[in-house]
Amino acid sequence: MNQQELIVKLQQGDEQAFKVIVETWQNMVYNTAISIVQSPEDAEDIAQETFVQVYQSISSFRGDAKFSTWLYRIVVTKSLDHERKKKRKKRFAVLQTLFGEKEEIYPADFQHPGVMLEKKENAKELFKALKQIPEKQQVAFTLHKLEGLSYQEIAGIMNTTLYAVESLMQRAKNNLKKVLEKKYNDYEE
Amino acid sequence: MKNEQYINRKVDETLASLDDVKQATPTPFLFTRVMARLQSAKESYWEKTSRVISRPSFAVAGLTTVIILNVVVLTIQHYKVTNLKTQQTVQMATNYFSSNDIAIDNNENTAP
Repeated sequence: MNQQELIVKLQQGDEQAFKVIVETWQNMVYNTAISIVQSPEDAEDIAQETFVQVYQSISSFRGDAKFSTWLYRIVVTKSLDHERKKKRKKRFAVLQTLFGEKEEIYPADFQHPGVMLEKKENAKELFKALKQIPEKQQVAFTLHKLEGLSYQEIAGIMNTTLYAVESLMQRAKNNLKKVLEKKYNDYEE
Repeated sequence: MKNEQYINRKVDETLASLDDVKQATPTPFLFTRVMARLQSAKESYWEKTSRVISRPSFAVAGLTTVIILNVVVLTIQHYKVTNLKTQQTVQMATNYFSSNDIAIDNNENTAP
């Protein structure tokens, strides 16, 4: 069964077609989510939510874009929404700590499961730095580096031009460099 | 100078640390968990509906609507009955007087 047939079957409510779609795309969805939210539990949750949305709104998929592009858009949007919610909660928690109602909890450093052992320490620093650059730059960098997508594919997912993605990538690299330089300078002092 | 070189090298290494990264995979049986979530999403729709229906404001609004409908129906019914009674009275009066007229006429005609 090819992808087009699968989508048609899913639009007719075929559960077997849905199973094939989940099993085909689960790694891609989970990997994208974990790279943005940097938490295996939250990524698992987002992956489930993404497939629930695919099942519920497959009728609105008209094939204008590739199925993978549509799927990437859903998972990226959900991951970014999750991050925004987390930031709001964090701000509220800081307020509570100021008034002494709650003790501050520091999240553990994120380790991506696909990173090679000898690069784990550096990757940990890079993921921390990624949290400090603007959202769009983070998404473009993540999709390129962790999902191996081309700038053209990223432009399709982010609904922007190739030139804009190139510019986002350049700024992302420059900003990451600045953050890391500051970090390593502080270590040295 | 040496320090700056070291930092530059470290930054470059860090930026390249994701170059050969492998794809992360979710825990097994994701499909089963997705189906369970879909099921609970369906249930929560009905839960949501029943919660809306059982709200006091919803109950008061519903009760008020029923009372208003009853009052409207009773008023219409009352109006219809009154109208019918008036019509019947008028009809009876008309019948009565018209039959009396005939009788009077008949009396007049039969007189010598």
